[in-house]
Amino acid sequence: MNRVLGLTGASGYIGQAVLRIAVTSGWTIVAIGRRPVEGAAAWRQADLNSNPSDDLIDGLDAVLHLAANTDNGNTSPASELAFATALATRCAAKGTPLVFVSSQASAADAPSDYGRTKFAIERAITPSGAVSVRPGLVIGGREGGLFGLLVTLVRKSPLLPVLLPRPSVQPIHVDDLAKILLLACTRRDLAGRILCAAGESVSFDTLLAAIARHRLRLRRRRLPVPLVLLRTVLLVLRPILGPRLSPSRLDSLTRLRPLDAHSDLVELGVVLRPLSSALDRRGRGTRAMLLEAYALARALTGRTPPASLMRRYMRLLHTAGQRDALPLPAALLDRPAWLASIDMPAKNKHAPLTGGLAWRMGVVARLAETEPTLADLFLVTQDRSGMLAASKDIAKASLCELHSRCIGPLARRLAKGLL
Amino acid sequence: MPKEPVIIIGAGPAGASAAHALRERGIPVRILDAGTTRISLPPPGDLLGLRFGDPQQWRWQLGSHGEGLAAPAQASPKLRVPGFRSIFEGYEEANRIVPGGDFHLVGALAAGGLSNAWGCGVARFDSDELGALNADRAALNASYDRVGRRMGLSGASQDALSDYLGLDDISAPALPLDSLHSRLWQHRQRTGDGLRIGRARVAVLGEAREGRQGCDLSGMCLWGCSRRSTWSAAYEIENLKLDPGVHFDAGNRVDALHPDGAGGWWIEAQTASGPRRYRADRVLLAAGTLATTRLALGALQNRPDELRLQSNPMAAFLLWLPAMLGTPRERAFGLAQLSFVFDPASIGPIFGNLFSTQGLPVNEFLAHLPLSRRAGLPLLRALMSSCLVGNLFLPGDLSAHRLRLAADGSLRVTSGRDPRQDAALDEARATLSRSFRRAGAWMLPGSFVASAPGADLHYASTLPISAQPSAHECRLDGELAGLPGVHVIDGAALPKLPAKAHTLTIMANADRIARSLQVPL
Repeated sequence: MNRVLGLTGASGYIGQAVLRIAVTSGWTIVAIGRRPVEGAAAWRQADLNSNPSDDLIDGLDAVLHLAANTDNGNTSPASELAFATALATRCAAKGTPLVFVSSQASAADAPSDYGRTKFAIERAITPSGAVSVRPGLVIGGREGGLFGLLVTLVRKSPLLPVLLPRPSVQPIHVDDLAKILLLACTRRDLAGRILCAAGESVSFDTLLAAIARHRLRLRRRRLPVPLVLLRTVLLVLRPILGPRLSPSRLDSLTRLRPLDAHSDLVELGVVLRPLSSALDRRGRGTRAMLLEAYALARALTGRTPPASLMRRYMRLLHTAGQRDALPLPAALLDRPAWLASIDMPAKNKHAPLTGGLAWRMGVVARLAETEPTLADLFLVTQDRSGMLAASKDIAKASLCELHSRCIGPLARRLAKGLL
Repeated sequence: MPKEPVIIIGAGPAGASAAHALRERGIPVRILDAGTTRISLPPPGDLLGLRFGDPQQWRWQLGSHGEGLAAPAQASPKLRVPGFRSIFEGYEEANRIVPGGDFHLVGALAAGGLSNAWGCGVARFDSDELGALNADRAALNASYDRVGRRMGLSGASQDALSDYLGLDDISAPALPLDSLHSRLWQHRQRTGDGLRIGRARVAVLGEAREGRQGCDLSGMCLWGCSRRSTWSAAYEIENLKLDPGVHFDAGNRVDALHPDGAGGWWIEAQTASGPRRYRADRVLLAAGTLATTRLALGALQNRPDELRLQSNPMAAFLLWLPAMLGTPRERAFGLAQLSFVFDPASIGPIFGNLFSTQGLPVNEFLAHLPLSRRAGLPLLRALMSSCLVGNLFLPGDLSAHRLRLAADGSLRVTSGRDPRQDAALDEARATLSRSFRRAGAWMLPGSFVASAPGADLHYASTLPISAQPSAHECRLDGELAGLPGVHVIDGAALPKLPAKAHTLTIMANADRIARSLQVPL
């Protein structure tokens, strides 16, 4: 495959991910923009402020339009709309697929120019067969875009704000989005569609906490902040903070409409990585998976598990086709006793045969029984024999079970949907 | 293609026995076997040493690719051992056998057949159990002795099962009991209810012999005996291969038999490199009851709509010996150490065995407790070393499975049960619970579990030897009445399937048939 993709916004946060993935999957990239972009095979000059030239898309097999004015710079919504419309007309005339990256904020009555402009462009280009993709909150990869801002915020702030009422976001890893965009560039059957590309809904503070935990490996306390109060502060500090933290941006967040991405993702055949993997620096679930093995093994044995157990856990899960950690809440990951109280095989009979929490706990239990350093948990040795030691074990089991029965119902609620 | 005097299909216990007998008569033999794989054995050493010392034990316990994790429920832990995986794999597809309902189908393609992973239980059938085979009882008893001596049996002991199992004269003394079984053995007279307890008679060597070492009580029986103390037909096949009069063709999956028009048979086989044909005067079917039945039904002109298949309805239970609480783990034989039999009035003797829990993974039990695994671990550490596992078998006529050859040539198996089966299991549980308790062993509540139909793997009696055989039954020499020249020598030919272990009888019968076979030379 050697197809040529025209890419606007190639230097941006999403653009860079698209560039990297497109090149490795065989695309030749022509960057379209004000400046040449490293990694692209060629550059064609264009500006959102002026209409695209007639020959801008000559020789391209598809065009992916990412460029947007994100920080009230020197482009107007009108010129953005004009550029996109002209681009769509040229693409339609030549039969070149056009994919436009819209936003979850896209709405006729969106609180920001950004959202309203996206909506206007969608409306203008859809009739000519262009595909619009509305991504959720894009995260992961290098710290750019809104994600970069959030990471900086979490890194610098000693407390994590819990906005009240709690707004929801639907994070998607930038690489997952890039794959979806490239798919949309090749799927002619999607012409004229508006696709949603977004992950499961989580509260905004859950996302911040996950950034702290999985991306920065920091512990942060949470602080409830009424939205009204925050908005007032942002309004007052507006001259100092600049447009990146404007009240309208906050409004965009709190008034997001949920995206129903499920059917589109199924149609595209894309499975999104879970939050913990998405926030892992390597973009894979390695660390999250090891943390999971650690937590489950501690829950079962009450000991720090040997590293070999955690490695083999990953290996066995991979061979079983399980490449990601479960999105276990920190409240469970940090409390082995809570996890242990969920691990009740008799109660989990209806859990899925592979993949879920119940199955994973079984894998850890089987692995623990193959670790020489844990063998004494399974077998009575000469020096631990006798009625007294056995009675102690039985007493320990009873106390442990009693404890499990007390916290089990709560712990099970936390693990809802994961069993 | 030259016509050979005898071709044996299948290299399990029956095929190996017949091949031995034919070679002793100087008759050249070709053996066709579907298997290409070998079992992989755990490293040498004893279980406790390996459990505390082998950093790579996950490979033999779970398999490098987690083979041990994917597990059928309610089946023997043997079926989950990664090293044995290759024995059972691909059997249904290769032999075109389709289980229906809740029938638990297991078969083996590997050379040695199911004996690669068997429990080594042996017994001699009495005249009632032999049915139509009684007509040739003297020859059969001679075959029992010959085969038993070649395998190497142990368990001889003047006890309550001496007559019932009938092998003391050809067996070496029993292997040592571990401390739990010793205690039960001491109190065996207290049981009452007609429950008779004796030493288990097993095909296991106590002393080294012919390339096999004697049992050192390593406790590794479940995972595979690297000392080869437990008998497997695969060892006999290895020896047979060294004999220039034996042609062993591995990787030959026999598909069909056709008459060659001159009193012999064409054998159509599939190999990795395409179809192959063989021709023989006599065909000995030893592919295992189900595969043998499919081949026979496929060749029969007037085939019955349905055949009956017997297997032993089976259950397992746990016994706890409170007096032994806190016993440390010790070296112990991992297969049956004691056996028991009792005789409820209506259904015939019920037979069972007791095993150490030593060699079994704690996880086998952990997943069935009504507790969290975290609490289950210390509980089982405390209890397991004072527990025994038991199994029991009901006579095969309490099963009522059916076989049918489908239009596409596959063999359909449907499970069925005799209405008396549930009552018999209930009675067995009550009797065992009561009598073992008198001997100081408590059946743990909820631990008595009936296995899925077919999970015993004792498939038998589909083409039984009969005094007046119909077309799909066998004459005394195993020849199918409707297929002259085709002899059934495996479990399919057994007239009856009592509760006691039947492998030795299959082998003795194969030996007997092979010795009396009329072969044109």
